[in-house]
Amino acid sequence: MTDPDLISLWITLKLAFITTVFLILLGTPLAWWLSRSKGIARNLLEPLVALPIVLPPTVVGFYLLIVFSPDSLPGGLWQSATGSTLAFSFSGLVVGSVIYSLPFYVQPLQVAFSSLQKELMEAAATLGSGPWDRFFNLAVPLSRRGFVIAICLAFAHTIGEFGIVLMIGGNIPDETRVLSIALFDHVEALDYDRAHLLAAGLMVFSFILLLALYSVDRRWQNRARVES
Amino acid sequence: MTLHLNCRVERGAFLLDLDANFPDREVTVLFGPSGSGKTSILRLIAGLDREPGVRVAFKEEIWQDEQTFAPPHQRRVGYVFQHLNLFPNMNARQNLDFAEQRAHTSEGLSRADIIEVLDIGDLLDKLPDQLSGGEKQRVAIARTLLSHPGLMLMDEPLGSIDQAAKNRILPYLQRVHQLLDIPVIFVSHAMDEVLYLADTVMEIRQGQMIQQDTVIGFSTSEGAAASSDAAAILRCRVLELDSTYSLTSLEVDGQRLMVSKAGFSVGDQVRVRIPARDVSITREPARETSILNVLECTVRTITDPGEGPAAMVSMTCGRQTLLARITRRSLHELLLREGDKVYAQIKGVALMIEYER
Repeated sequence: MTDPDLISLWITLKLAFITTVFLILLGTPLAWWLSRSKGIARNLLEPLVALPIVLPPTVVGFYLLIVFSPDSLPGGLWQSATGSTLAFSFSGLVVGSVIYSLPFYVQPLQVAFSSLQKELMEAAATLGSGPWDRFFNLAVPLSRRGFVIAICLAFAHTIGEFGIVLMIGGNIPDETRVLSIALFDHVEALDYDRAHLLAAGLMVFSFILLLALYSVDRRWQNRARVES
Repeated sequence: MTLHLNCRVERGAFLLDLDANFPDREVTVLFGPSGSGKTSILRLIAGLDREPGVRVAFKEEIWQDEQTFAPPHQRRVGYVFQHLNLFPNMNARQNLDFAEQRAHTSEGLSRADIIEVLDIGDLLDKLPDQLSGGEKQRVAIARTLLSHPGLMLMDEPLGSIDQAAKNRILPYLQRVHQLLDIPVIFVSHAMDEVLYLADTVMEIRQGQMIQQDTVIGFSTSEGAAASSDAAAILRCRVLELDSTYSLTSLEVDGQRLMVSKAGFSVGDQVRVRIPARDVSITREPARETSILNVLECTVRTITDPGEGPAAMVSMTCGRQTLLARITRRSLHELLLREGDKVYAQIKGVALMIEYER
Protein backbone atom coordinates (compact mmCIF):
# COMPACT_ATOMS: atom_id res chain seq x y z
CA MET A 1 0.00 0.00 0.00
CA THR A 2 1.89 2.97 -1.24
CA ASP A 3 -0.83 5.42 -2.17
CA PRO A 4 -1.11 7.76 0.83
CA ASP A 5 -4.89 7.96 0.37
CA LEU A 6 -5.18 4.18 0.65
CA ILE A 7 -3.14 4.31 3.84
CA SER A 8 -5.47 7.04 5.12
CA LEU A 9 -8.43 4.81 4.24
CA TRP A 10 -6.88 1.95 6.18
CA ILE A 11 -6.17 4.16 9.22
CA THR A 12 -9.73 5.51 9.10
CA LEU A 13 -11.34 2.08 8.96
CA LYS A 14 -9.04 0.75 11.67
CA LEU A 15 -9.84 3.74 13.87
CA ALA A 16 -13.59 3.38 13.32
CA PHE A 17 -13.49 -0.35 13.99
CA ILE A 18 -11.42 -0.15 17.18
CA THR A 19 -13.44 2.81 18.43
CA THR A 20 -16.69 0.90 17.86
CA VAL A 21 -15.35 -2.11 19.75
CA PHE A 22 -14.43 0.11 22.71
CA LEU A 23 -17.82 1.80 22.54
CA ILE A 24 -19.61 -1.55 22.66
CA LEU A 25 -17.59 -2.53 25.71
CA LEU A 26 -17.88 0.80 27.55
CA GLY A 27 -21.03 2.35 26.14
CA THR A 28 -23.31 -0.68 26.58
CA PRO A 29 -23.02 -0.85 30.38
CA LEU A 30 -23.19 2.95 30.50
CA ALA A 31 -26.41 3.01 28.44
CA TRP A 32 -27.86 0.24 30.64
CA TRP A 33 -26.99 2.13 33.80
CA LEU A 34 -28.43 5.40 32.46
CA SER A 35 -31.65 3.62 31.49
CA ARG A 36 -32.09 1.90 34.87
CA SER A 37 -30.91 4.23 37.60
CA LYS A 38 -32.18 7.40 39.16
CA GLY A 39 -30.45 10.01 41.24
CA ILE A 40 -27.92 12.78 41.07
CA ALA A 41 -25.01 10.81 39.59
CA ARG A 42 -27.17 9.68 36.70
CA ASN A 43 -28.65 13.13 36.15
CA LEU A 44 -25.18 14.65 35.96
CA LEU A 45 -23.67 11.95 33.78
CA GLU A 46 -26.41 11.99 31.17
CA PRO A 47 -25.73 15.56 29.93
CA LEU A 48 -22.00 14.96 30.26
CA VAL A 49 -22.23 12.05 27.83
CA ALA A 50 -24.27 14.19 25.44
CA LEU A 51 -21.85 17.13 25.60
CA PRO A 52 -19.85 16.21 22.44
CA ILE A 53 -23.05 16.59 20.40
CA VAL A 54 -23.29 20.31 21.13
CA LEU A 55 -19.66 21.29 21.71
CA PRO A 56 -17.41 22.27 18.80
CA PRO A 57 -15.01 19.34 18.28
CA THR A 58 -12.13 21.73 18.76
CA VAL A 59 -13.19 22.38 22.36
CA VAL A 60 -13.14 18.67 23.18
CA GLY A 61 -9.88 18.33 21.26
CA PHE A 62 -8.28 21.20 23.12
CA TYR A 63 -9.02 19.75 26.54
CA LEU A 64 -7.99 16.26 25.45
CA LEU A 65 -4.70 17.71 24.23
CA ILE A 66 -4.12 19.15 27.69
CA VAL A 67 -5.04 15.87 29.39
CA PHE A 68 -2.80 13.94 26.99
CA SER A 69 0.23 16.11 27.76
CA PRO A 70 2.96 14.25 29.67
CA ASP A 71 2.73 17.01 32.32
CA SER A 72 -0.80 15.96 33.27
CA LEU A 73 -1.50 12.90 35.37
CA PRO A 74 -3.24 10.72 32.71
CA GLY A 75 -0.73 11.72 30.03
CA GLY A 76 2.19 11.10 32.39
CA LEU A 77 0.88 7.70 33.42
CA TRP A 78 0.42 6.74 29.80
CA GLN A 79 3.97 7.85 28.93
CA SER A 80 5.56 5.94 31.82
CA ALA A 81 3.53 2.84 30.91
CA THR A 82 4.10 2.84 27.14
CA GLY A 83 7.11 5.07 26.60
CA SER A 84 5.32 7.31 24.09
CA THR A 85 2.98 10.26 24.28
CA LEU A 86 -0.74 9.90 23.82
CA ALA A 87 -1.07 13.09 21.83
CA PHE A 88 -0.30 12.81 18.13
CA SER A 89 -0.56 9.01 18.23
CA PHE A 90 -3.07 6.52 16.91
CA SER A 91 -3.90 5.47 20.50
CA GLY A 92 -4.70 9.09 21.29
CA LEU A 93 -7.05 9.18 18.31
CA VAL A 94 -8.85 6.12 19.61
CA VAL A 95 -9.33 7.74 23.03
CA GLY A 96 -10.59 10.95 21.45
CA SER A 97 -12.93 9.12 19.07
CA VAL A 98 -14.43 7.01 21.84
CA ILE A 99 -15.25 10.14 23.84
CA TYR A 100 -16.49 12.07 20.86
CA SER A 101 -18.66 9.26 19.46
CA LEU A 102 -19.94 8.13 22.85
CA PRO A 103 -23.33 9.92 22.69
CA PHE A 104 -23.98 8.57 19.20
CA TYR A 105 -23.62 5.05 20.56
CA VAL A 106 -25.14 5.50 24.01
CA GLN A 107 -28.27 7.46 23.16
CA PRO A 108 -30.00 5.05 20.73
CA LEU A 109 -29.12 2.17 23.01
CA GLN A 110 -30.38 3.97 26.08
CA VAL A 111 -33.69 4.58 24.30
CA ALA A 112 -33.90 0.88 23.41
CA PHE A 113 -33.11 -0.22 26.98
CA SER A 114 -35.60 2.25 28.46
CA SER A 115 -38.39 0.91 26.29
CA LEU A 116 -37.86 -2.66 27.49
CA GLN A 117 -40.92 -3.72 29.44
CA LYS A 118 -40.12 -4.02 33.11
CA GLU A 119 -42.60 -6.89 33.42
CA LEU A 120 -40.64 -9.01 30.95
CA MET A 121 -37.50 -8.70 33.05
CA GLU A 122 -39.51 -9.48 36.18
CA ALA A 123 -41.02 -12.55 34.54
CA ALA A 124 -37.53 -13.75 33.64
CA ALA A 125 -36.34 -13.17 37.22
CA THR A 126 -39.13 -15.28 38.68
CA LEU A 127 -38.22 -18.00 36.17
CA GLY A 128 -34.85 -18.23 37.88
CA SER A 129 -32.89 -15.96 35.57
CA GLY A 130 -30.20 -13.87 37.29
CA PRO A 131 -29.22 -10.31 36.33
CA TRP A 132 -26.44 -11.22 33.82
CA ASP A 133 -28.53 -13.94 32.27
CA ARG A 134 -31.48 -11.55 31.93
CA PHE A 135 -29.25 -8.95 30.29
CA PHE A 136 -27.57 -11.17 27.72
CA ASN A 137 -30.41 -13.55 26.94
CA LEU A 138 -33.39 -11.21 27.10
CA ALA A 139 -32.46 -7.50 27.11
CA VAL A 140 -29.86 -7.76 24.32
CA PRO A 141 -32.01 -9.76 21.88
CA LEU A 142 -35.00 -7.52 22.55
CA SER A 143 -32.84 -4.43 21.93
CA ARG A 144 -31.20 -5.66 18.71
CA ARG A 145 -32.62 -2.76 16.72
CA GLY A 146 -31.08 -0.28 19.15
CA PHE A 147 -27.74 -2.06 18.91
CA VAL A 148 -27.68 -1.95 15.10
CA ILE A 149 -28.52 1.76 15.04
CA ALA A 150 -25.99 2.54 17.77
CA ILE A 151 -23.16 0.61 16.11
CA CYS A 152 -23.81 2.10 12.67
CA LEU A 153 -24.00 5.64 14.00
CA ALA A 154 -20.85 5.25 16.10
CA PHE A 155 -18.93 3.73 13.19
CA ALA A 156 -20.06 6.31 10.65
CA HIS A 157 -19.53 9.19 13.01
CA THR A 158 -15.96 8.10 13.75
CA ILE A 159 -15.21 7.88 10.05
CA GLY A 160 -16.47 11.40 9.46
CA GLU A 161 -14.77 13.18 12.34
CA PHE A 162 -12.38 15.97 11.59
CA GLY A 163 -11.89 18.71 14.14
CA ILE A 164 -10.95 16.61 17.10
CA VAL A 165 -8.54 14.50 15.03
CA LEU A 166 -6.80 17.59 13.80
CA MET A 167 -6.42 18.90 17.37
CA ILE A 168 -5.10 15.76 19.06
CA GLY A 169 -3.78 13.66 16.20
CA GLY A 170 -2.21 16.25 14.02
CA ASN A 171 -1.73 15.21 10.46
CA ILE A 172 0.95 12.54 10.55
CA PRO A 173 1.07 10.38 7.42
CA ASP A 174 0.89 6.62 8.08
CA GLU A 175 -0.08 7.29 11.70
CA THR A 176 -2.94 9.71 12.25
CA ARG A 177 -3.89 11.08 8.86
CA VAL A 178 -7.48 9.92 8.41
CA LEU A 179 -9.58 10.40 5.27
CA SER A 180 -11.29 13.60 6.32
CA ILE A 181 -7.92 15.21 6.92
CA ALA A 182 -6.43 13.86 3.72
CA LEU A 183 -9.39 15.45 1.94
CA PHE A 184 -8.66 18.76 3.65
CA ASP A 185 -5.02 18.53 2.53
CA HIS A 186 -6.00 17.89 -1.09
CA VAL A 187 -8.30 20.89 -1.07
CA GLU A 188 -5.60 23.10 0.42
CA ALA A 189 -3.18 21.90 -2.25
CA LEU A 190 -5.86 22.61 -4.87
CA ASP A 191 -5.72 18.95 -5.92
CA TYR A 192 -9.44 18.79 -6.67
CA ASP A 193 -9.28 15.49 -8.54
CA ARG A 194 -8.10 13.57 -5.49
CA ALA A 195 -10.39 15.62 -3.25
CA HIS A 196 -13.35 14.59 -5.40
CA LEU A 197 -12.36 10.97 -5.16
CA LEU A 198 -12.26 11.02 -1.35
CA ALA A 199 -15.33 13.23 -0.92
CA ALA A 200 -17.43 11.17 -3.29
CA GLY A 201 -16.15 7.97 -1.72
CA LEU A 202 -17.11 9.09 1.76
CA MET A 203 -20.49 10.26 0.56
CA VAL A 204 -21.28 6.99 -1.22
CA PHE A 205 -20.11 5.00 1.78
CA SER A 206 -22.27 6.99 4.18
CA PHE A 207 -25.26 6.74 1.88
CA ILE A 208 -24.92 2.96 1.55
CA LEU A 209 -24.55 2.57 5.31
CA LEU A 210 -27.71 4.59 5.99
CA LEU A 211 -29.57 2.79 3.22
CA ALA A 212 -28.70 -0.56 4.79
CA LEU A 213 -29.62 0.73 8.24
CA TYR A 214 -33.04 1.98 7.18
CA SER A 215 -33.87 -1.14 5.20
CA VAL A 216 -32.96 -3.42 8.12
CA ASP A 217 -35.03 -1.22 10.38
CA ARG A 218 -37.98 -1.33 7.98
CA ARG A 219 -37.79 -5.09 7.70
CA TRP A 220 -37.83 -5.53 11.47
CA GLN A 221 -40.73 -3.16 11.82
CA ASN A 222 -42.65 -5.02 9.12
CA ARG A 223 -41.96 -8.29 10.83
CA ALA A 224 -43.14 -6.82 14.12
CA ARG A 225 -46.33 -5.77 12.37
CA VAL A 226 -46.88 -9.22 10.89
CA GLU A 227 -46.32 -10.71 14.31
CA SER A 228 -48.92 -8.51 15.94
CA MET B 1 -46.12 -23.53 58.37
CA THR B 2 -45.23 -23.29 54.72
CA LEU B 3 -45.20 -19.67 53.76
CA HIS B 4 -45.28 -16.86 56.24
CA LEU B 5 -45.53 -13.19 55.33
CA ASN B 6 -45.34 -10.41 57.83
CA CYS B 7 -45.29 -6.88 56.53
CA ARG B 8 -45.93 -3.33 57.52
CA VAL B 9 -45.30 -1.20 54.47
CA GLU B 10 -46.36 2.40 54.07
CA ARG B 11 -46.76 3.88 50.63
CA GLY B 12 -48.01 7.41 50.98
CA ALA B 13 -51.45 7.15 52.53
CA PHE B 14 -51.69 3.41 51.85
CA LEU B 15 -50.66 1.00 54.59
CA LEU B 16 -50.19 -2.68 53.93
CA ASP B 17 -50.30 -4.36 57.31
CA LEU B 18 -50.48 -8.09 57.27
CA ASP B 19 -49.45 -11.21 59.10
CA ALA B 20 -50.42 -14.26 57.10
CA ASN B 21 -49.72 -17.97 57.06
CA PHE B 22 -50.41 -19.73 53.81
CA PRO B 23 -51.29 -23.44 53.90
CA ASP B 24 -49.28 -26.00 51.95
CA ARG B 25 -50.64 -27.83 48.89
CA GLU B 26 -53.72 -25.69 48.75
CA VAL B 27 -55.04 -22.88 46.67
CA THR B 28 -55.32 -19.73 48.74
CA VAL B 29 -57.25 -16.98 47.01
CA LEU B 30 -56.50 -13.39 47.99
CA PHE B 31 -59.87 -11.85 47.40
CA GLY B 32 -60.71 -8.17 47.48
CA PRO B 33 -61.45 -5.08 45.39
CA SER B 34 -58.89 -3.42 43.12
CA GLY B 35 -56.39 -1.32 45.03
CA SER B 36 -56.74 -3.34 48.24
CA GLY B 37 -53.10 -4.47 48.10
CA LYS B 38 -53.45 -8.01 46.73
CA THR B 39 -50.85 -7.60 44.00
CA SER B 40 -48.47 -5.85 46.41
CA ILE B 41 -48.63 -8.93 48.64
CA LEU B 42 -47.62 -11.21 45.76
CA ARG B 43 -44.81 -8.87 44.72
CA LEU B 44 -43.42 -8.81 48.25
CA ILE B 45 -43.52 -12.60 48.42
CA ALA B 46 -41.73 -12.87 45.06
CA GLY B 47 -39.14 -10.23 45.97
CA LEU B 48 -40.09 -8.01 43.04
CA ASP B 49 -40.47 -5.06 45.40
CA ARG B 50 -37.95 -4.45 48.10
CA GLU B 51 -39.33 -2.67 51.14
CA PRO B 52 -38.22 -2.43 54.75
CA GLY B 53 -40.49 -3.94 57.39
CA VAL B 54 -41.09 -7.15 55.48
CA ARG B 55 -40.42 -10.69 56.59
CA VAL B 56 -40.93 -13.60 54.22
CA ALA B 57 -40.16 -17.19 55.18
CA PHE B 58 -40.75 -20.23 53.01
CA LYS B 59 -40.38 -23.60 54.72
CA GLU B 60 -36.95 -23.43 56.40
CA GLU B 61 -35.66 -20.59 54.25
CA ILE B 62 -35.77 -16.95 55.22
CA TRP B 63 -36.26 -15.02 52.03
CA GLN B 64 -36.45 -11.61 53.59
CA ASP B 65 -36.06 -9.99 56.99
CA GLU B 66 -34.11 -7.06 58.42
CA GLN B 67 -30.76 -8.54 57.34
CA THR B 68 -31.60 -10.78 54.40
CA PHE B 69 -32.98 -10.16 50.97
CA ALA B 70 -33.06 -13.00 48.46
CA PRO B 71 -33.55 -11.65 44.91
CA PRO B 72 -36.50 -13.06 42.93
CA HIS B 73 -34.44 -15.50 40.86
CA GLN B 74 -33.32 -17.27 44.05
CA ARG B 75 -36.78 -17.59 45.60
CA ARG B 76 -38.21 -20.65 43.80
CA VAL B 77 -41.44 -18.83 43.06
CA GLY B 78 -43.47 -19.24 39.93
CA TYR B 79 -45.31 -16.04 39.03
CA VAL B 80 -48.13 -15.78 36.53
CA PHE B 81 -48.68 -12.11 35.80
CA GLN B 82 -51.91 -10.31 35.08
CA HIS B 83 -50.54 -8.81 31.91
CA LEU B 84 -49.45 -11.70 29.83
CA ASN B 85 -45.73 -11.26 29.50
CA LEU B 86 -44.46 -13.97 27.27
CA PHE B 87 -41.16 -12.97 25.69
CA PRO B 88 -42.27 -11.46 22.37
CA ASN B 89 -39.09 -12.40 20.50
CA MET B 90 -39.50 -16.11 21.22
CA ASN B 91 -42.17 -18.54 20.07
CA ALA B 92 -44.13 -20.54 22.63
CA ARG B 93 -41.63 -23.41 22.55
CA GLN B 94 -38.69 -21.08 23.15
CA ASN B 95 -40.56 -19.43 26.00
CA LEU B 96 -40.94 -22.87 27.58
CA ASP B 97 -37.27 -23.67 26.90
CA PHE B 98 -36.22 -20.48 28.67
CA ALA B 99 -38.02 -21.62 31.82
CA GLU B 100 -36.94 -25.26 31.59
CA GLN B 101 -33.25 -24.38 31.24
CA ARG B 102 -33.41 -22.33 34.42
CA ALA B 103 -35.74 -24.58 36.44
CA HIS B 104 -35.55 -24.03 40.21
CA THR B 105 -35.35 -27.77 40.91
CA SER B 106 -35.18 -30.95 38.89
CA GLU B 107 -38.39 -32.25 40.46
CA GLY B 108 -41.76 -31.24 39.18
CA LEU B 109 -44.31 -31.87 36.49
CA SER B 110 -42.84 -33.15 33.25
CA ARG B 111 -42.85 -31.04 30.12
CA ALA B 112 -45.07 -33.54 28.32
CA ASP B 113 -47.64 -33.53 31.13
CA ILE B 114 -47.72 -29.75 31.33
CA ILE B 115 -48.20 -29.41 27.57
CA GLU B 116 -50.98 -31.98 27.67
CA VAL B 117 -52.84 -30.61 30.69
CA LEU B 118 -52.86 -27.09 29.30
CA ASP B 119 -53.51 -28.34 25.77
CA ILE B 120 -50.88 -26.16 24.10
CA GLY B 121 -49.26 -28.80 21.86
CA ASP B 122 -50.53 -27.05 18.72
CA LEU B 123 -49.40 -23.61 19.81
CA LEU B 124 -45.69 -24.28 20.31
CA ASP B 125 -44.47 -22.86 17.00
CA LYS B 126 -46.45 -19.64 17.30
CA LEU B 127 -45.15 -16.29 18.47
CA PRO B 128 -46.98 -14.68 21.39
CA ASP B 129 -48.54 -12.09 19.07
CA GLN B 130 -50.19 -14.87 17.08
CA LEU B 131 -51.96 -16.29 20.15
CA SER B 132 -55.33 -15.28 21.61
CA GLY B 133 -55.49 -13.95 25.16
CA GLY B 134 -56.56 -17.30 26.61
CA GLU B 135 -53.90 -19.18 24.63
CA LYS B 136 -51.22 -16.77 25.79
CA GLN B 137 -52.25 -17.28 29.37
CA ARG B 138 -52.13 -21.08 29.02
CA VAL B 139 -48.61 -20.85 27.57
CA ALA B 140 -47.61 -18.44 30.35
CA ILE B 141 -48.91 -20.85 32.98
CA ALA B 142 -47.07 -23.73 31.31
CA ARG B 143 -43.89 -21.65 31.27
CA THR B 144 -44.21 -20.96 34.98
CA LEU B 145 -44.88 -24.63 35.77
CA LEU B 146 -41.82 -25.68 33.77
CA SER B 147 -39.60 -23.65 36.08
CA HIS B 148 -40.61 -26.16 38.79
CA PRO B 149 -41.46 -23.62 41.46
CA GLY B 150 -41.85 -24.43 45.14
CA LEU B 151 -44.63 -21.89 45.35
CA MET B 152 -47.02 -20.64 42.69
CA LEU B 153 -48.19 -17.02 42.63
CA MET B 154 -50.97 -16.09 40.21
CA ASP B 155 -51.92 -12.44 39.86
CA GLU B 156 -55.40 -12.25 38.33
CA PRO B 157 -54.32 -14.44 35.43
CA LEU B 158 -57.86 -14.31 34.08
CA GLY B 159 -58.26 -10.56 34.55
CA SER B 160 -57.30 -9.54 31.04
CA ILE B 161 -59.30 -12.07 29.04
CA ASP B 162 -63.01 -12.10 28.20
CA GLN B 163 -65.61 -14.16 30.05
CA ALA B 164 -65.93 -16.83 27.34
CA ALA B 165 -62.17 -17.42 27.31
CA LYS B 166 -62.19 -17.39 31.09
CA ASN B 167 -64.83 -20.11 31.24
CA ARG B 168 -62.69 -22.21 28.94
CA ILE B 169 -59.51 -21.73 30.94
CA LEU B 170 -60.93 -22.26 34.46
CA PRO B 171 -61.09 -26.06 34.08
CA TYR B 172 -57.44 -26.05 32.94
CA LEU B 173 -56.48 -24.13 36.05
CA GLN B 174 -58.36 -26.58 38.18
CA ARG B 175 -56.57 -29.51 36.59
CA VAL B 176 -53.23 -27.80 37.12
CA HIS B 177 -54.03 -27.19 40.78
CA GLN B 178 -54.97 -30.83 41.24
CA LEU B 179 -51.63 -31.95 39.82
CA LEU B 180 -49.55 -29.58 41.91
CA ASP B 181 -48.61 -30.40 45.46
CA ILE B 182 -47.24 -26.93 46.22
CA PRO B 183 -48.99 -23.91 47.70
CA VAL B 184 -50.77 -21.74 45.19
CA ILE B 185 -51.66 -18.14 45.94
CA PHE B 186 -54.19 -16.77 43.53
CA VAL B 187 -55.23 -13.13 43.41
CA SER B 188 -58.75 -12.37 42.28
CA HIS B 189 -61.57 -9.90 42.63
CA ALA B 190 -64.09 -12.16 40.88
CA MET B 191 -66.38 -14.22 43.10
CA ASP B 192 -66.85 -16.96 40.48
CA GLU B 193 -63.08 -17.57 40.35
CA VAL B 194 -62.88 -17.71 44.14
CA LEU B 195 -65.65 -20.28 44.48
CA TYR B 196 -64.32 -22.28 41.57
CA LEU B 197 -60.69 -22.52 42.56
CA ALA B 198 -60.13 -21.72 46.23
CA ASP B 199 -59.46 -24.01 49.14
CA THR B 200 -58.79 -21.13 51.50
CA VAL B 201 -59.91 -17.54 51.06
CA MET B 202 -58.19 -14.50 52.53
CA GLU B 203 -60.27 -11.41 52.11
CA ILE B 204 -58.16 -8.26 51.75
CA ARG B 205 -59.50 -4.74 52.26
CA GLN B 206 -57.37 -1.59 52.27
CA GLY B 207 -54.14 -3.40 52.95
CA GLN B 208 -55.48 -5.59 55.76
CA MET B 209 -56.76 -9.13 55.94
CA ILE B 210 -60.31 -8.97 57.27
CA GLN B 211 -61.20 -12.63 56.94
CA GLN B 212 -59.48 -15.99 56.50
CA ASP B 213 -61.66 -19.04 56.05
CA THR B 214 -62.09 -22.21 54.05
CA VAL B 215 -63.94 -21.63 50.81
CA ILE B 216 -66.93 -23.48 52.26
CA GLY B 217 -67.12 -21.12 55.21
CA PHE B 218 -66.36 -18.12 53.03
CA SER B 219 -69.01 -18.93 50.41
CA THR B 220 -71.83 -18.55 52.92
CA SER B 221 -70.35 -15.66 54.87
CA GLU B 222 -72.28 -12.43 54.82
CA GLY B 223 -69.99 -10.60 52.42
CA ALA B 224 -69.80 -13.40 49.88
CA ALA B 225 -73.54 -14.10 50.04
CA ALA B 226 -74.22 -10.49 49.06
CA SER B 227 -72.49 -10.97 45.70
CA SER B 228 -74.64 -11.64 42.66
CA ASP B 229 -72.37 -14.63 41.97
CA ALA B 230 -72.97 -16.03 45.46
CA ALA B 231 -72.92 -19.80 45.64
CA ALA B 232 -72.75 -22.40 48.38
CA ILE B 233 -70.29 -25.22 48.34
CA LEU B 234 -71.32 -28.58 49.77
CA ARG B 235 -69.17 -31.58 50.57
CA CYS B 236 -70.64 -34.82 49.25
CA ARG B 237 -69.82 -38.49 48.88
CA VAL B 238 -70.50 -40.53 45.75
CA LEU B 239 -73.25 -43.07 46.55
CA GLU B 240 -73.96 -44.81 43.30
CA LEU B 241 -73.54 -44.51 39.55
CA ASP B 242 -76.70 -44.83 37.46
CA SER B 243 -75.77 -45.79 33.92
CA THR B 244 -79.41 -45.94 32.68
CA TYR B 245 -79.87 -42.19 33.07
CA SER B 246 -76.21 -41.25 33.10
CA LEU B 247 -76.50 -39.81 36.57
CA THR B 248 -74.38 -39.91 39.68
CA SER B 249 -76.00 -39.97 43.12
CA LEU B 250 -74.30 -38.03 45.88
CA GLU B 251 -74.95 -38.05 49.58
CA VAL B 252 -75.10 -34.71 51.41
CA ASP B 253 -75.38 -35.30 55.15
CA GLY B 254 -78.01 -38.04 54.74
CA GLN B 255 -79.83 -36.54 51.76
CA ARG B 256 -79.42 -37.25 48.10
CA LEU B 257 -78.29 -35.13 45.16
CA MET B 258 -78.09 -36.25 41.54
CA VAL B 259 -75.66 -34.84 39.03
CA SER B 260 -74.67 -35.68 35.50
CA LYS B 261 -72.35 -38.60 35.27
CA ALA B 262 -68.71 -37.77 35.68
CA GLY B 263 -65.62 -39.87 36.12
CA PHE B 264 -66.16 -40.78 39.76
CA SER B 265 -66.03 -44.00 41.74
CA VAL B 266 -68.40 -44.90 44.55
CA GLY B 267 -67.07 -43.48 47.81
CA ASP B 268 -65.23 -40.51 46.27
CA GLN B 269 -65.38 -37.28 48.24
CA VAL B 270 -66.47 -34.43 46.01
CA ARG B 271 -67.57 -30.83 46.29
CA VAL B 272 -70.49 -29.30 44.49
CA ARG B 273 -71.06 -25.66 43.91
CA ILE B 274 -74.64 -24.49 43.96
CA PRO B 275 -75.21 -20.91 42.81
CA ALA B 276 -77.77 -19.14 45.02
CA ARG B 277 -79.74 -17.96 41.98
CA ASP B 278 -80.39 -21.57 40.96
CA VAL B 279 -82.08 -22.46 44.25
CA SER B 280 -85.79 -21.89 44.90
CA ILE B 281 -87.75 -22.54 48.10
CA THR B 282 -91.06 -24.33 48.75
CA ARG B 283 -92.98 -24.97 51.96
CA GLU B 284 -94.18 -28.43 50.85
CA PRO B 285 -92.21 -30.99 48.87
CA ALA B 286 -93.39 -30.56 45.29
CA ARG B 287 -94.89 -33.57 43.56
CA GLU B 288 -94.53 -34.39 39.87
CA THR B 289 -91.82 -31.89 39.18
CA SER B 290 -88.96 -32.09 36.72
CA ILE B 291 -86.58 -30.89 39.36
CA LEU B 292 -84.55 -33.84 40.57
CA ASN B 293 -82.83 -32.30 43.50
CA VAL B 294 -84.77 -31.22 46.54
CA LEU B 295 -83.05 -30.87 49.91
CA GLU B 296 -84.83 -30.53 53.22
CA CYS B 297 -83.36 -27.53 55.04
CA THR B 298 -83.91 -25.19 57.93
CA VAL B 299 -83.87 -21.44 57.36
CA ARG B 300 -80.95 -20.00 59.27
CA THR B 301 -80.82 -16.35 58.29
CA ILE B 302 -82.79 -14.13 55.96
CA THR B 303 -81.09 -11.09 54.46
CA ASP B 304 -83.74 -8.71 53.17
CA PRO B 305 -82.11 -5.49 51.90
CA GLY B 306 -85.49 -3.70 52.18
CA GLU B 307 -85.33 -2.54 48.54
CA GLY B 308 -84.68 -4.01 45.13
CA PRO B 309 -86.11 -7.31 43.94
CA ALA B 310 -83.93 -9.93 45.63
CA ALA B 311 -83.34 -11.32 49.12
CA MET B 312 -80.86 -13.96 50.28
CA VAL B 313 -81.89 -16.94 52.36
CA SER B 314 -79.24 -18.98 54.08
CA MET B 315 -80.31 -22.48 55.12
CA THR B 316 -78.73 -25.31 57.03
CA CYS B 317 -78.82 -28.70 55.44
CA GLY B 318 -77.39 -31.20 57.88
CA ARG B 319 -74.19 -29.56 59.02
CA GLN B 320 -73.79 -27.63 55.79
CA THR B 321 -75.11 -24.37 54.43
CA LEU B 322 -77.09 -23.68 51.29
CA LEU B 323 -77.91 -20.27 49.82
CA ALA B 324 -81.03 -19.24 47.90
CA ARG B 325 -81.55 -15.95 46.14
CA ILE B 326 -85.29 -15.43 45.91
CA THR B 327 -87.45 -12.42 45.23
CA ARG B 328 -88.51 -10.29 48.18
CA ARG B 329 -92.07 -10.77 47.05
CA SER B 330 -91.77 -14.56 47.41
CA LEU B 331 -90.12 -14.09 50.76
CA HIS B 332 -93.16 -12.15 52.00
CA GLU B 333 -95.77 -14.43 50.39
CA LEU B 334 -94.16 -17.54 51.90
CA LEU B 335 -94.02 -15.75 55.28
CA LEU B 336 -90.56 -17.20 55.79
CA ARG B 337 -89.09 -16.92 59.28
CA GLU B 338 -85.79 -18.04 60.64
CA GLY B 339 -86.02 -21.62 61.94
CA ASP B 340 -88.71 -22.66 59.40
CA LYS B 341 -88.41 -26.03 57.73
CA VAL B 342 -88.37 -25.65 53.93
CA TYR B 343 -87.54 -27.56 50.76
CA ALA B 344 -84.77 -26.18 48.55
CA GLN B 345 -85.23 -27.02 44.88
CA ILE B 346 -82.04 -27.05 42.90
CA LYS B 347 -81.94 -26.95 39.12
CA GLY B 348 -79.88 -30.00 38.20
CA VAL B 349 -77.85 -28.30 35.57
CA ALA B 350 -76.49 -25.78 38.03
CA LEU B 351 -74.39 -28.29 39.89
CA MET B 352 -70.68 -28.10 39.33
CA ILE B 353 -68.42 -30.84 40.46
CA GLU B 354 -65.05 -30.35 41.98
CA TYR B 355 -62.77 -33.06 43.18
CA GLU B 356 -61.95 -32.96 46.82
CA ARG B 357 -58.22 -32.90 47.26
